[in-house]
Amino acid sequence: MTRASALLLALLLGACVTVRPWERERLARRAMEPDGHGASSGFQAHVASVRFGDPPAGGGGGGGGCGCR
Amino acid sequence: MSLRALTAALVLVSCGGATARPVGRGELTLHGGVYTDRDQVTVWNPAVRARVPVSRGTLVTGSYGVDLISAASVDVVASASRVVEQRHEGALGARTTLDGRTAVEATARLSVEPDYRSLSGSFAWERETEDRHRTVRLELRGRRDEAGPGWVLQRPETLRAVAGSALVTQVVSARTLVRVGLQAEHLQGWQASVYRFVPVDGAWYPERLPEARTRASATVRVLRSLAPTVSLSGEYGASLDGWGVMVNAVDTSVRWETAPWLVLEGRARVLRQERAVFYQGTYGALTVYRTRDRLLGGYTAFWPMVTARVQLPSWPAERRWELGASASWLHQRFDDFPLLPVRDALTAELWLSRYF
Repeated sequence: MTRASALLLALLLGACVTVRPWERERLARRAMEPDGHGASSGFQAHVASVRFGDPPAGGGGGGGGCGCR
Repeated sequence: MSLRALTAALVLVSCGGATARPVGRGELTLHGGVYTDRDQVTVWNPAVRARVPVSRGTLVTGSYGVDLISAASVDVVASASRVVEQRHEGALGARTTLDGRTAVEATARLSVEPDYRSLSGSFAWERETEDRHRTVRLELRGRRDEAGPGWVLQRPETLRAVAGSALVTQVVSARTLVRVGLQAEHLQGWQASVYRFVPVDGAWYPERLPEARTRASATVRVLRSLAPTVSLSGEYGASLDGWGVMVNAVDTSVRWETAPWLVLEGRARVLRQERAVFYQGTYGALTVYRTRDRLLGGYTAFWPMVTARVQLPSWPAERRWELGASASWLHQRFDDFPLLPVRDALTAELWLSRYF
């Protein structure tokens, strides 16, 4: 998996087309924002942290909460 | 493409010169979330978040939230017992631009509840290439937790964690973004529950887990515009740790700007986890490590979610207000936990943001 990611990363870094500013309308749309709302993402990350055991988002919130410890 | 849309796109994503751009906009958000599951756990989470530009190049961020927990899960304790407690979490940070393309960010966070305290800090470096095709973010995090006292622990024990991550976001075409992330984390110290006992051949023993845990994870995400107002996202992630826990996860989402002021999103996450090497559904003999934590066993999860965001004024103007709502259903099926083989949970969120 890590090897595949490294390969993909190398391809991305070296073989991308140039997108001119006037070609970026689609990328500037609200539907293309890479992340959701920050506060909502934080809440969902905390749910994932206590229900999936994911590393807490931002390195914080390591507390049990929900009696999970 | 309309002239208005083209103008907006140029303003939003134009390749500027080397002059410093504002590091970000101010924001004040009120957020409320609730989580409830069929293990009789309900958590209310009101929170407030602020981002304040103190100069053209520096943004100060702060947040505070509290978990109001109305019960504890029955898989945590020997039998269901009612617990009402609170968890408070506050964070303070700053982000500043070093030049037009580079920013650094530092954050400190404190989480406090009666039987668990966590203090963490992070430092991030972020750089965008001159052509604005690629953003690289490197982050270091550290954490010191203190668990207990509890039924198992008379005195608090500590857990230390360090983590590093790299995130690259790349424009690969006029319609496609790709994001690749790598992360490694090492934890050292107390990682068991302060309450949990494990039945072994008719007797009960405190849960015991290894003190060291190292895990690595990688994610690849592709975000593609299917039409001017519709995008599709797909993400694959995998992680592996020194306890033998392996996770594979797939996340897909569709976003649709149904109106210039309304974005709807449907999202689903499917996750499969393989158990830790020392996890057993039942222990016939005393082992060095033992647990009844379902999250260390094998399980499959399905997590669909819907979100609606009203953003004013309408696109392409810069938003000043956002009202959002989200709801999700989390379903987990555990391979080897006969007491509670399934967990179903519902979450709901509502937030209001003012940007300035």
